[in-house]
Parts: sequence; C-alpha cells; structure tokens
Amino acid sequence: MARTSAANERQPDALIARLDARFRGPLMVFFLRRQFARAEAEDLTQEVFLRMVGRDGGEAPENPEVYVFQVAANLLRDRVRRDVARKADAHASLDAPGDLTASGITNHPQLVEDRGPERVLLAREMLAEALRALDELGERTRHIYILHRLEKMRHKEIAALLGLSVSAVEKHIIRAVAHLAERCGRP
Amino acid sequence: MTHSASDTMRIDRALLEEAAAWRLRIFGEDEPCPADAEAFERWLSASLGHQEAFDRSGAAWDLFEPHAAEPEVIRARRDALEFARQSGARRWANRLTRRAGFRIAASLAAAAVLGAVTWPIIDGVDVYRTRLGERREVTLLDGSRVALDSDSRVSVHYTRDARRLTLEKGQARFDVAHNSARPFSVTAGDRRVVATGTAFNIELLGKRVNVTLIEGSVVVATLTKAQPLAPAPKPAKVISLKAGQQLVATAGLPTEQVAPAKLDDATAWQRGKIVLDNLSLEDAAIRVNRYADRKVVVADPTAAAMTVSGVFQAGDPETFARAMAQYLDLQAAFGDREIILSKPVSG
Repeated sequence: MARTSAANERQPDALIARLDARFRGPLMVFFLRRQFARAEAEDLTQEVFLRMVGRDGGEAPENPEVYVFQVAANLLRDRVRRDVARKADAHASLDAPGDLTASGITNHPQLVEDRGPERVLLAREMLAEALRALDELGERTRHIYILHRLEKMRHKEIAALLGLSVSAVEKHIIRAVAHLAERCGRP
Repeated sequence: MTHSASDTMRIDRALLEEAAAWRLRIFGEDEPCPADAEAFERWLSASLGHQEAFDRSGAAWDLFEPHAAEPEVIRARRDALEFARQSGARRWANRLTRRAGFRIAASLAAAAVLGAVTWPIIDGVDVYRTRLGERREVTLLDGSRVALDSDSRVSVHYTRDARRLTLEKGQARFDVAHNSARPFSVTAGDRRVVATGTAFNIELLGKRVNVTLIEGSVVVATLTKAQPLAPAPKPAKVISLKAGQQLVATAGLPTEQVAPAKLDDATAWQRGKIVLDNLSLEDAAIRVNRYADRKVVVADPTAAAMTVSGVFQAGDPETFARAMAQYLDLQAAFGDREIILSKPVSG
C-alpha cells in the first residue's frame, strides 16, 4: 500500500475512515458470529478501530490486516472475561454471554434459576405466542425450522433426509424466520 | 453511519425475508468470505429499516432456544424428528450413503431421548452413547446439556439432591443449568468435576483426563480407590479452576497441571476438527482413532513418545498418518483395518 500523504495518515479520523471502509464488514461478521447482538457488534467494531489508532499514536500500521483480527480477538477476550466476572457477581444474570466458540452448535440456553414469578409468567406467555406463530407455518416449513434451529442439523443433512435441494431447505428456513420475526420479533 | 431522512420504519414481509436470508448467510456453517461480509455491511448500513429487520430476524432465530426443554417445545421437536425420520425412511429404500444412515440413526436416538424426557424419571441411570463418526447433543431433565463427541459414553444419574454423571468413554461438553441445591458432578477416571452452573469440556485420552473450563467455576477432586462410587466423597485434594483454564490429570497419579487453555482448541471437535497441540504421537493417535474405523497404530515406542502438533479433519486418519510419517520420518503401512506407523527399516 503506497503512503500517499503521511500528514493525512496521522489524522486518526482519516485512518479510522480507511479502516472502516476496509474492515467494517468482516469485523461485524466476526462479532455477530460470536453471539453479540448487532448494536454490540457495532460498538465492538468501532472499539477495534479506536484501539488500532491508539496503538501507534495514530500512525497507520504497515499491514493493518495482520493486526485487525488480533486486536478483535484481544477485545473479545477482554469482553468475555469482564462478562464472566460480572456474571459471577450477579450470580447467573439474564444477559449471560453467548458461547465462546465460533460455532453456534452449543450456545448455552439462558440457564436462569433465580427469576421472579412475573418474569416466569411473561416468559410463558411469550412462549405460547411463539408456539402459535410456529403453528401458522406449513408443516414442512415448521419442521425444517425446528430441525435447523433446535436439533442443529445442517442444511445439507436436512436436504438429504427430506429429499430436497439445499436451497429449498434454506428457503423454508428463511420463510419461517421471517414469519416468526413478523409475529414475535418486536423487542 | 448516516441514514437518509426518507427512512421509513415500515418493516414489511419482503424486508424480513431479506434480513433472514442475510442471517442465514452470516451464521452459516462456514465463515462468510470478505466480499460477502462487505456486501452484508453495505446492506445493513443502507437503512435503519434494514437494521431493525435484522434485529427482529435475530429474535426469531433463537426464539425457542431458551425454552428447548419445555414440554410444548419438546413435542414440536419430536414431531420434527419423526417427520424427518419418516421422510428419511421412505428414501432409505432408494440408496443412502453410510453417513446419512448414521444421521438417521442419530435422529432416531434423539427422538427416543426426547420421548423419554416427557416421562418423569424418578430414579435410575440413563446412558447416552455415540458411535464412530456420530456427534450428539442431549438436553437433560433440568435443562443442562451434554454434547457427546464421536465414540463416547456418558451415564446420567439424577436424584432429588444431586445430578451425578460419569464420562465413561471419549469426550463431552457439559453446559450446566444453574441449581446450587443440586450439585452437578461428572466423574471421569479417578477425577470428579463438581459444578453448580457452568460450561466445561472433559476428554478421556488414554490414561489422561483433560478438563477445560469454558465459563463459570468448577472444582476437581481426586477420588481414592476406596470411594470412586461413594455418594459424597471426602477427597484429599480439591483444585479450583477458573474460566479459560485446563487441568490435565493422569489416572493413578496424584499431581496435575493447570494451564491457560485455548478454548477454541478444546471445543474444536464440535466443529469436526482435531487439534493437536504438543501431544505425544501416542495420545494423538488415540484422539484421531476416536473418529474412524481404520485405526492408527504406533508400533515404535520411541516414535510414540515424540511430540506432534497440527490440525486435522475428524474421520480422516489417512491424512494424519501420512503427515506423521513425513514429519517424523516414519513408515506408514496402510492396511484395511489399521494404519501402522513404524521406524523405517534402515539400510
């Protein structure tokens, strides 16, 4: 990468803008896949850029692609540590961090014991509503959604079992997710 | 990020499907390529409506996850598995690969497990096992989850005031539902891991027991010969683990090492990967052999003690054997049932 204007590069804002243009997408994906919500992923992505700028006093690193995911991994580690410590303090709080692995296979459920009766009641009502929305889907779409999201089967496996193409399986999942989002996705 | 003033917050069905399609791509089995990631980011930042739709699709994505063990959800899961089984059985008549056959067997087993969950089991031992090449996740009565690696076995004994499990073979990850009134313990070899609510991975590797704490806290106790099955052992020594630490113990030896763990490595098996990090060739072979019919045999004791590292695909002992032969200057003899690694005949 040619250094066009050294003076310009020292401007943290200009550097951040450059990093942003190049790495925002991959970093967002990195954090989203590690179980952070969109807004959190945006904050973390921004934090990576700030750390990148901070590390050399605003000097652009020679090969940002070498550092950027290292910085992201460090940030992730710090965050998980903090959350674990916080969780230990709060004694199993509701906003438990997600699984530490990249795969979504074993995101632990929110394992919460100590919640008030109102909360339990509200959760029951939401579940009843979610099950009604699930029932509104076609039989095949409903089963495919469950096989994918709860039984954690791969698209390929579902396709092989049901004698469908992988893209057909994906269309069923998309339809189910969109329907459930429409019915139950409001925060 | 800037948003045009013309952003309308009307989220229609088409937009939700668009968001769901992106979610499927971003959270797919493989990490999306940079071009996809950038395209996704362009879509996401194009409007507030896109962000709202993406967030809502997230709620729908994990909608039943926290309720996976509720009876109504278990019913839906059983119906889905039964549906898959029947469709699969119909297709079985045609031709199915061996792997697909395994999957159906796994689904059947899961259906049987789910069936069992609806009856309250008062007392008794449940045994969960996986065959070669099979991976399986079960939700226990209290919502705790056990993910079993290939060729592994876990027995579960729940009573009113204790949740007692034994890893009899192989490897498993435990995600424990919090309940301080009913301690959750897993016995592996002559070590016992005790937790209240946490997530950890245990691997039996030859005579070794590897305990990796993913989050929360656990204590690991050494059981003496006289009391391996005693309900409330008074162990001589108890070691506390912190999240991100791994304990390596050897059966029969009172000492153990505790070191920071690479969590991604410890749970790599859940992604079908075998990660070897400074392991003796002997232990590496035990791990590789967990996933395949064709066993790697290390015939030479000097070679067995050599240290190896690397990442391999589970179920592919051939590549592992070839790599080892090359790195350690060994000879690999490929038989039908086994691959023998030995010192090359000199001369």
